[in-house]
Amino acid sequence: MSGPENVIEVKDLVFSYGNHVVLQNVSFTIRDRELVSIIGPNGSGKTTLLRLLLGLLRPDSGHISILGSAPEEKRGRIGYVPQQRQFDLQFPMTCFDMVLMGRAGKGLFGHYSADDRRIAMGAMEQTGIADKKDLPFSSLSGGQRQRALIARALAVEPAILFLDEPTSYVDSTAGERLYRLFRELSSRFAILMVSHDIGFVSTWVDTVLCVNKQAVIHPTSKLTGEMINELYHGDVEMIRHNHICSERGHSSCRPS
Amino acid sequence: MFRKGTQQLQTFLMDIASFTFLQHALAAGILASVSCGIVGSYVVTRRISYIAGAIAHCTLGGMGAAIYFNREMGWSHATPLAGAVAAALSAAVIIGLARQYGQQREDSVLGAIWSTGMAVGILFISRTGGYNEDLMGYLFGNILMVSTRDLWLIAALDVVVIIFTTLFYNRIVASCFDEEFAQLAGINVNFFHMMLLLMTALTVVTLVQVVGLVMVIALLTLPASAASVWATRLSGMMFLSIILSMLAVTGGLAVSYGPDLPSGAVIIMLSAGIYLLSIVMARFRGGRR
Repeated sequence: MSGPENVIEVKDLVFSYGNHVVLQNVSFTIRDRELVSIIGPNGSGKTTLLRLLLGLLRPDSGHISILGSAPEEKRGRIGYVPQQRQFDLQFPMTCFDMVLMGRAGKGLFGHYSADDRRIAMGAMEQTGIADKKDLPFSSLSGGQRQRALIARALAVEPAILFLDEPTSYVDSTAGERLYRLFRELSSRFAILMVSHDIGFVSTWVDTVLCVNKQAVIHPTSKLTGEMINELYHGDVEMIRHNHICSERGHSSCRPS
Repeated sequence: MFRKGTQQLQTFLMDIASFTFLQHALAAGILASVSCGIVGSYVVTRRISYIAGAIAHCTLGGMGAAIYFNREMGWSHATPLAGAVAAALSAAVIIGLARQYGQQREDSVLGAIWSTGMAVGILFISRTGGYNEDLMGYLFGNILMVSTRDLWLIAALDVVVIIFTTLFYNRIVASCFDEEFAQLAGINVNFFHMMLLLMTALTVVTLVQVVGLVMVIALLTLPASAASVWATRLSGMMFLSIILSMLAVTGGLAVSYGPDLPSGAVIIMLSAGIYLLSIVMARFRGGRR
C-alpha cells in the first residue's frame, strides 16, 4: 500500500525575468496532507515559485503538475492567501462579504446561495472570526484580517492551500495561533506556504523547501544551522524547539 | 441675498413646468447620476480615475474628427456624440488590451492616449471652419442643450449598467478587491476589467454632456468618494453615490439657473462641497473610517 498521493509535482523547472534566471532546474514533489514551508533569503525566488505553482506565471521550461493537471486547469480547487499588504483597506466590505468571495467563482453568475453562505460561515467559525462577520474588513486587527483571508481561502473548499508570508503582519502570539491552525488544516489537505519565520517553521512544519535559485526539499527535522547558514549566506543563531510534527525533538535555527 | 436666492429658486421651479429644455436637463442629470453613481464607485474603489481621465480627454479627438467630417465632408451621421462614443470605446479597448498583452508601463500608455486624443481633436478643429459652439459645450458641458434622443441614450446606458452590475455583482466585487484571488477562484478577470473599462467609457461620454470633458473625472469620483466614507458595502456605496450625484446635479442646475452661471462648474463645486462635508462629518461623527 503506497502513502498519500503527490498533489504537487515539479520537474526541471526553469524561470527567468528577462536575462535574470530566478529558478534553475527545480524539482520536488509534495504529498497530500503535507505541511510544507518554502524558505530562503529575499530575492531567492520563493514568491516566484509560489506564483508559478498557482499558474500566475508561466515557466520557461520544465513541468508543473497540480493535482495531476496544469495549474490553470485546477483553478477553483486552490485556496490562496496572499500577502496582506496588497489590499486596499478602504474598500467598503464586511468581513463576511470578504470570506464569501471564496464562493464567487462558483455557478453561472457567481450569485451566493444559502449553501455558499453556510460554507463561508463554517470557514469563519473554523478560523475563529465568526463573531466579526458584520464588521468592516478594514476595522479588523492584522491577525483577524489574516484569519479572514484564510477563511476566504477555505471557503473555496480547496484541495491545496497556498499561503504567502502568512505571519508577516501579526505578532508572535497570533502567529503561533495561525501555525496551530495550519497544523490542524493539514490533516485535510496539503499546505504550502512561503515563510520567513524559521522559528515557527521549525516548530510546526513537516517539510521545508529551501529555495535559492535551486531548491532542496527535506524534513524539517533534518534542517541544520549549517544548511540555513548556507541558504541565507550569513550567520545564523541557533535556537532549540520542541518539534511537534512527525519527528519530535530536533534543533533548528533562524537567521540572525 | 437670501430673498434673492429664494426668488431665483422659485423661478427655476416655475420654469421647469414651462420649458422643455429645463425638463430635459433635469431628466438628463437624474438619469446620468445612475450610471455615474454605479460606475463612479467602481472607478474609486478600483483606483482607476486616471483611466477615466484618459478616456474623457481622448473623446476630444473623436468629437473634433466628427465635427470636421460633418462640416467639411458633409457626413451627416458624424455627430460629436457619435465621435465621442467611438473615441471613448476605442480608448477603453486599447487600455484594456495594453494591460492584458502589452509590455509597456500602464501610465505611459494612458499618457499617450490622453494627450494624443486631445492633439487629434485640436488638429481637426483647426481645420474646421466656423464657430465650434458644440465643441465648447462638450469641453465645459451644456446640460441645457440635451435632446430627447440624448435622454434615450443615457437611459439605455443606465439599463446596461444596472443589468450588468446586477448579474455579476459578486464577481465584479471580487475582481475589484483582489484580482489575483478572483482569477484563482475561476473568475475571468480580464473580461470583467474590459467590461468595466467599456462601461466607464460610455459613462464618461454621458457625463461629458452634463459637465464637459474637462470636469468629468470630478463628477465621476467626488460623489462616490463621499459615499465611500459612509458605506460598508460596495452596493451601499453605489446607492449613496447615485443619491449624492442626483443632489449635486439637480442642485447645480437650480443654483446656476437664476444668476446664469455655467451649470457644469456649479455642479462640480457642489460635488466637491458634498465630498468635503462628508470627510469633515466623518471626522467628527465617526464615519466608516
